[in-house]
Amino acid sequence: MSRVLLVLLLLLVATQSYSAVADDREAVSRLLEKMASASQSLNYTGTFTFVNGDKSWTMQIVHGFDKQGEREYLSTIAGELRKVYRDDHSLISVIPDKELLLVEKSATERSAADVFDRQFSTQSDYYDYYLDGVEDIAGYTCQVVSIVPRDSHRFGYRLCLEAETGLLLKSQVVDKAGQPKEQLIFNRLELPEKTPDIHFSTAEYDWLPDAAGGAGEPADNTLDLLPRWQLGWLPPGFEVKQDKTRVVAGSRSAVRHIVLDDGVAAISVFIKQPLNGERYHASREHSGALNTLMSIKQGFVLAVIGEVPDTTITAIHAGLKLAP
Amino acid sequence: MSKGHENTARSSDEELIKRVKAGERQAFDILVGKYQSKIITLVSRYVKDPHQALDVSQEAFVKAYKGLATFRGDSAFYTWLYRIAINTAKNHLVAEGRRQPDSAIDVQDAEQYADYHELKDTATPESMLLSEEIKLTVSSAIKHLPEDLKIAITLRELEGLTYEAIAEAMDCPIGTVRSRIFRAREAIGKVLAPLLN
Amino acid sequence: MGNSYQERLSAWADDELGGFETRRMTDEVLKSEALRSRLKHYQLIGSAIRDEPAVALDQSFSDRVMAEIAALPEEEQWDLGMETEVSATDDSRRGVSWLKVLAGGAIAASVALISLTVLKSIHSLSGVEQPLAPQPVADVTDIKPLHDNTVAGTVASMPPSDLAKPVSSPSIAPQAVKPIPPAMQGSANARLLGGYLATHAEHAARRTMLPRARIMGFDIPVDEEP
Repeated sequence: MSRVLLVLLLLLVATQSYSAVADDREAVSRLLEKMASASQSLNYTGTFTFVNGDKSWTMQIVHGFDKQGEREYLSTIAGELRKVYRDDHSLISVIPDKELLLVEKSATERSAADVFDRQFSTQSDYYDYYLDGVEDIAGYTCQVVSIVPRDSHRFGYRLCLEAETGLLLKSQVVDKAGQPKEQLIFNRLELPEKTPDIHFSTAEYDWLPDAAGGAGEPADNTLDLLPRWQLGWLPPGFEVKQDKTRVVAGSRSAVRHIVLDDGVAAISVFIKQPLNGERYHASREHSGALNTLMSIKQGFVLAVIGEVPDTTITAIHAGLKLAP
Repeated sequence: MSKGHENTARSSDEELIKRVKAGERQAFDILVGKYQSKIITLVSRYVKDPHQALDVSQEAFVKAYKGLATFRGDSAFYTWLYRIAINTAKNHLVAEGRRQPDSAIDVQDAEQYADYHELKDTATPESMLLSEEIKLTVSSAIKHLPEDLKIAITLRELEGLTYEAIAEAMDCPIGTVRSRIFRAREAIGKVLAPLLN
Repeated sequence: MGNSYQERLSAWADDELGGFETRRMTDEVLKSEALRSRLKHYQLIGSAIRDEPAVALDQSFSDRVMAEIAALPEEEQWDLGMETEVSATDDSRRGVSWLKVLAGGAIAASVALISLTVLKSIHSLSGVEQPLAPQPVADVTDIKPLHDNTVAGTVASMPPSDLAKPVSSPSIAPQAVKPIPPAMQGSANARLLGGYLATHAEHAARRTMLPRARIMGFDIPVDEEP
């Protein structure tokens, strides 16, 4: 084969693979948009299994969307009992085996959550996007989408989206080596026209105050120093998408919450100053794709949480500094 | 990640222990230097008086030296050392007729995430002064480091990451990490030297 | 002393040299006062970065330890080939069992503490004197399991500390007692971490059911209040 022919052949292959990637990105983008809309606006009930390391949980989900807004009830049906209720005004997490019951009730806070787009983005230069064939899950055919990271600061995703509605039927978060960190897969799924209100009743928790005493706006004497904390190193592609001081369930004092985002993965940085008598200690936890690191630095509690590798969390945490 | 560090840490500790057993007492001095701050911090959680905490820590190291014959390397050296330190502190409290602490201190917790706030209040004024000066100098020196050196040394010393993990976090070869950490230490050491001399 | 040599010392201090190099550098460090001095500086820098307490940075501590060791009777010196078992052995062995007992005690104590907090919370929030006696552990076992706990291999994979937890769990399950107020349960750390996870799921993570599933699957550590 002559050299010219070889070059032409290589060029042809390169052009084809480039257009294949470009096509995939566009198709993936359409599917992901569909998924975001479906998970919010459809009525669906079903059971799925969530595998996290060597533990697995079978959960029931009931999701409703009607004139009362979006409502969701999630409960374990095997394993330790845990429940999450969520609607436009509150989020209640019941985790009895951990002695925890967390309540967030604040319409203002929750509507502010959407100041940036929290759908998966296909605009990131730090991932490649592929269509990876179809699978049959819970009686539905779904399209497999692979989101592959280009560096080690983030995880990859393998999603399977129901062909017609775009509903997420299977999700795998994988590390750099392609090993799954966590997996969610539906065993049963129904799409009724309406989901009964009874599933969303939180009456037994109505008497509870909000975690921060029902206050809408945080007001305490620890606010002045929070803005002085600065981020240092950030993984390439991650940007600050939100930086606000908010009321957080489980904290009596205001918490500064910085959201970092690369279009696919999100990282939260929490900074708070303990009130008198509050004692915290450092901890590092891993659970599936989720890594957390909490420490005490210069009298503040700093925490970094996200669905990214532990090394990324650690590096961001290490870069946090208090400006003079 | 810190686990990885612990695993590799055994090699040099074991090497030093071998030398101590062969009669090279200096090797134990290096082990003392390596674990002194962690042991004193641990003991101080039991024994609040800083002078007594130093004495008890000293006693723990001497016991460890004398007991090295029984250290077979089944656990990491520091784990074994910490147990001796905790026990020595407990015995001290009993001897003092004081109430024993009512909660266990997790060995790994004590090593990595000890709560130092109480200790700061109980340190002696003279040691406090020099130590605070050292801390201020180091902190100021770190501020003036180039960003890549600063991140590398912080990930190593504060987070206890292995070079491999740092290389992954910083997206660079392990050799570069090794060089950055060394350069950071040298730069900080230069600023610190007048204070120590 | 060249830079690469010193760089190897720095890596040795971090236990990042290979086996052969570690042995060689150990020889060098033991021979050279300058290397040992440099090593101490590295250790001090580490302590300062970690913001360790002032007393732990005492510069003369190791000198005092070594002086005491030098003053030990000859039969307790390693250079005389000491191989006898000494008191530290017993101490350390006792230490292990003592730690185990204490750890068990700590778990029980934490359960008791949490129960107490729960009762106090119900009491203070309701504003009514309610004769809520603590549930004895024996009663707890009488409560029927609300869910099938045999599925999904959770028990088999549970660490020993988790196996101890069900003792307290049924007593605060929503169906067993009246719900308890937020921010007053679990340890401060568990509460805060739980709140952070929920906030992250709601305000940062992608809009799917995954974030909530993660909250449910997250193994928030249960630890005792300081």
